[in-house]
Amino acid sequence: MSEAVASEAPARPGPGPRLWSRAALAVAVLAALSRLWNAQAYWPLRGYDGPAHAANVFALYEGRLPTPGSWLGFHPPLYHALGAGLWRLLPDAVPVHAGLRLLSAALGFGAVAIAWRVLRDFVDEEDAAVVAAFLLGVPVFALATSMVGNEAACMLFVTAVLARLTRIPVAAEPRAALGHALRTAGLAGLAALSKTTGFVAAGLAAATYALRLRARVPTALAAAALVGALPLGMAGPFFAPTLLAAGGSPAALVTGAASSTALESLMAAQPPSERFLRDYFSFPAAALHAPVFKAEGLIHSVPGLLYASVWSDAHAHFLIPVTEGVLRVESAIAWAGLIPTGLGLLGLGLLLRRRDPRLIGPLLFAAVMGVALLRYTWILPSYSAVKASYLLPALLPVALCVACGLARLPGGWRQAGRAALLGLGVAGTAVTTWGWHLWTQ
Amino acid sequence: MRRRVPTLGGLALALAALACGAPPRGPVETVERYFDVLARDPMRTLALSSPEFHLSHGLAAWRREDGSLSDSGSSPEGSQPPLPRQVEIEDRRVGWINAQIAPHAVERVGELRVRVTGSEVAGDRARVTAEVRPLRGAAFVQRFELARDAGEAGPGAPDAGRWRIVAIEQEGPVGGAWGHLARFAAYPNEALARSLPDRARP
Repeated sequence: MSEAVASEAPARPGPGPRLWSRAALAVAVLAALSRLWNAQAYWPLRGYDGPAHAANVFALYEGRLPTPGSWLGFHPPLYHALGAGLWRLLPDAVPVHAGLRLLSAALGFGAVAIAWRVLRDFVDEEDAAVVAAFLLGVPVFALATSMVGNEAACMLFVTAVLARLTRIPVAAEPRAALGHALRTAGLAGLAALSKTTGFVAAGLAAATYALRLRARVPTALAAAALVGALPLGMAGPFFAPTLLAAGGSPAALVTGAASSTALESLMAAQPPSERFLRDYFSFPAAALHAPVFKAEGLIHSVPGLLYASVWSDAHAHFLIPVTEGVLRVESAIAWAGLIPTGLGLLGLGLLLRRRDPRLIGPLLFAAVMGVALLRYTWILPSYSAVKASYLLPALLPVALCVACGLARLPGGWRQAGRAALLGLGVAGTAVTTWGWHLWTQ
Repeated sequence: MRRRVPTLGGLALALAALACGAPPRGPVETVERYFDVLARDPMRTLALSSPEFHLSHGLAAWRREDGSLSDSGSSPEGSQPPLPRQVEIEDRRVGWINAQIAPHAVERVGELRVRVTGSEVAGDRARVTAEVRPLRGAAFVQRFELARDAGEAGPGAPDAGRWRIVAIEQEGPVGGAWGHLARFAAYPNEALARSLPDRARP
């Protein structure tokens, strides 16, 4: 694929060698500094379900599993266990939530580092560095890595699994292929122990091994069984009792019914309370000029709110209160987000046309995640179910699409595209750095 | 290269010492620590408080529209089955954190001046009294009842055997809206939450 893309991509004109890589590194350092600042400055435990994640961490700190039936008791324990271990190491002067946020940031940056490494197999180093640095500033990523929660852990391990799927040793001896599958299975198990989404990655990985190794049926079946079974073995002992406590219904877990009828009613009462097919085919202008959930029409538009939650704090957990000034800045970022969105769509078209077998796993995973999110928003017709952060495990396929779209641009446009992505990375980082909005009130 | 060995060894020792945790706190130190971390580091308040404490402050993660607590037996209709005790405790812990990070509460905690005025220990129980002086509003007394950890988390838990807060009571004049806020900041609880102005409620 790297050869294929490189041969179609024009020669690299423009600024001197590695200038873009150095600029990308500077953007990445800015993003890291922003996360460091957010970890201690952002109001304690604010963010998506912060207090409930804290309760899970505390349970593990005390040496017990989170209680099934509690708010987030159904979440697998890896991130919270890592957080509990970190808590034991933190000096008294460091707030625990700050340590947990830094953990989220480290896991998220790890995911982008893996994505960057994979991108270098498909596009040139400069484009790979630019796209990786850009990702660090995309608001949905920046916010998830500034909060306490298991999104980043799942993103890291799923990205690692998908990265391995691009390098399945199709021509290797069965022993080597199975060894490769075993390591992938271990990572898929860690993903499943981080968040339920990890099981989707495990299933997709098993299918990908079966498909890629199909020339040798016994090896293909053994690899698929390994990748499918090991994550079940690792995370099953946690999920089995949790699922039993929820009456055997995965839907009861996501709607809150497994925890309490009050939580279920609370979630069900969140607007819009009811979903219609038209909600999946509308894209109100508010997604660009007022990208917060309360804006006209956004609650009734799944694509619109999803887009807004990629490029802004659409659910108002961070840039609060939402003032005119905040809205103007968020709107600017949302408009600018059309550039990488366009590049991503272009890249997706190119990748689908190219039919590179190495990309089967990542692209299939992205597709399944998209469908799963749509299904989730149907089961739970609440604005809080329409969050792009649920799609963060699809970081790698998204990065591949944007990078391949960028690599396809002709000479001057490609330079402009790189500049735009890095500029957006800086702007996204600036907007998601805690505190600026408080001065605008 | 030679120098790295003792450096790494020292680092390992330091990490091991940190992992073993700080020496156990007495009742007074536990109360002082409570005020030190309240709202600033809400998660550490969980390690200072007992399950009984969380069943006493009345705060909960979610409520019905009529204000009654989740599915607990406190439902006025009594039609819902009570939550299992452990689930209810977790629910209250989340409510307790929510209250600490409520608007205004965080700012008010920084304005409290606290002085421990008395303590008495009887076996595994202790009482500690503190005088709390807010920047605005009248001073009040806050009494803590503590007990040695009964071991909910088991003997292997990092804080097993430490003193934990079992209950808190406040005495003295409330002193208007600022007094309410100060009292709520010093001890977030459901009764005070109900009397806070809307925008200050958790």
